[in-house]
Amino acid sequence: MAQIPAELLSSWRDHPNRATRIIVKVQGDLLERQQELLSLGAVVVHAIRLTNSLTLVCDGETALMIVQLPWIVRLSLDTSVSALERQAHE
Amino acid sequence: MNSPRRKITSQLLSSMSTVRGDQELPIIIQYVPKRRLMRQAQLTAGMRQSYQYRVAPFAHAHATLEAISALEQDDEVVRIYQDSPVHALMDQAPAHVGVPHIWATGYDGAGVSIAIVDTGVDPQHPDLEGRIVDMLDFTSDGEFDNNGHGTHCAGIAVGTGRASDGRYRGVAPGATVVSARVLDAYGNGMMSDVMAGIDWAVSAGVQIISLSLGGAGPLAGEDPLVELCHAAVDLGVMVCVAAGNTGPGRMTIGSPGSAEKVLTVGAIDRADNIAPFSSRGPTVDGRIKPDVVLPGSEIVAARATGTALGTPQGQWYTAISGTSMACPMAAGLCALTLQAQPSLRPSELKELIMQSALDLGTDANAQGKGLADGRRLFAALGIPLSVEPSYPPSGPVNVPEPMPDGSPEAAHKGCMIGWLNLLRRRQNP
Repeated sequence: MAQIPAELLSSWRDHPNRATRIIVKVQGDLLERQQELLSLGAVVVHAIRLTNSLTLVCDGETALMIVQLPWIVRLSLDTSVSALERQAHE
Repeated sequence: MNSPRRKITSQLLSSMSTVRGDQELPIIIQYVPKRRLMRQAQLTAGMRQSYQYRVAPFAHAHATLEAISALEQDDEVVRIYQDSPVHALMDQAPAHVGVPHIWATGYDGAGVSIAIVDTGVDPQHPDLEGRIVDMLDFTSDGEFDNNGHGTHCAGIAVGTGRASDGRYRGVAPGATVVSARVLDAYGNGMMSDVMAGIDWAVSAGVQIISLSLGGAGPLAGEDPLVELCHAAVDLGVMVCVAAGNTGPGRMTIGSPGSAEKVLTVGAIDRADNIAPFSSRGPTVDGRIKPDVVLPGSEIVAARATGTALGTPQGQWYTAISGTSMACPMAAGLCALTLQAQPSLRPSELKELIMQSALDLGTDANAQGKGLADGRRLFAALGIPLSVEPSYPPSGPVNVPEPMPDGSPEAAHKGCMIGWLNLLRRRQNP
């Protein structure tokens, strides 16, 4: 089972119906794992071939099921990024 | 790295490394304010003074390498600049890093493809006509750049300068661009969209990826975006990443700038100082970053239609600052190098860029190895460059046009007046 930060697990347990967006790195065939995750109710946003990863949107309850899967290598919360120009107010 | 800051600018140092000992270089010397007018007898051996300014303590001269080195030891000398043609006033960045000499030798990045993973690009911009080979949107906002950041970055990397008669030509105007739109109209996006953009760009066969974006990210070793950048590098793709704009504090480099295998690029200002906003290392796991620095202050490049990002300079151009601007400059340098030496692996190219960089005499976690320099880079490759640089095809501009701040002083006829104003701006940023 992948190592998941405790606060993330806690957040999913506290809010099982709240949507979450995660990036999972998987073992095995990417397409097969994608189908299995779809069957659990997750929405697959991206399939990243370079690192055998998938971006998923699911609720907290589904995320808690996903982390139990033996072929999940790593799981991260999808985070925001920004363009690196200096803003006018800086 | 704690060597004292040189009085000789990086541009002049670069020129000095390419001339013989008895050749002269045109220089402008800045003296301390109390310095009286020089008598002829005070002139350093090997130096021919041609003009001494009266309104400020500057002098123009032609000097040998030995004379320049002697000047640097003079306590009354504050700074020694290389004199440059006036038409470079508005955007000196490519000349500052030796690129015109590379152009003059016949390299312009032809045959090399750069992925701009950003806010998209404006395919209708004259400077990008014929340069964009593919575009894909990962944001649901459409492929067209309605923010301006991506177009500006693309212009810096590969812009032809067509809308400015070549004045704002990018670093590698012969290279092509693949655009992955991963940021929205506000310049924001999700890490996973960036990953998808990179994944697609690698499958599209690009040789270089330019990432002028970043986030705080988790620890570098557990970051999926960092892992993806490393995977791209391992597949032979050169990845250039902006260091970030949350300097000058330590440990302000986020993700994916912290990725070990990428070329992380910080920014300098017009006075060769590390820009205050340029993020500093070390990384959270103690590695020195950035790797090199490049100009990132008030860079004039392509402006996307209908956008107002930065300080617009007419219809087709805008001036923007940030490590975002330094990053595609590095990507363009990589394109020039890969055209000359296509077999270079990313690790080799990164090492060459770093080892040939000019030490600016400041902390390694601010400058990395220093200012990346095209002439020194090609010298390290063993490729001789043209002694004479090639400037935009329209030729030099005899009357400097107003500076981006609208100063009327710069419009005065004569390159010396324009230079003096530029130096005043450097003194009083």
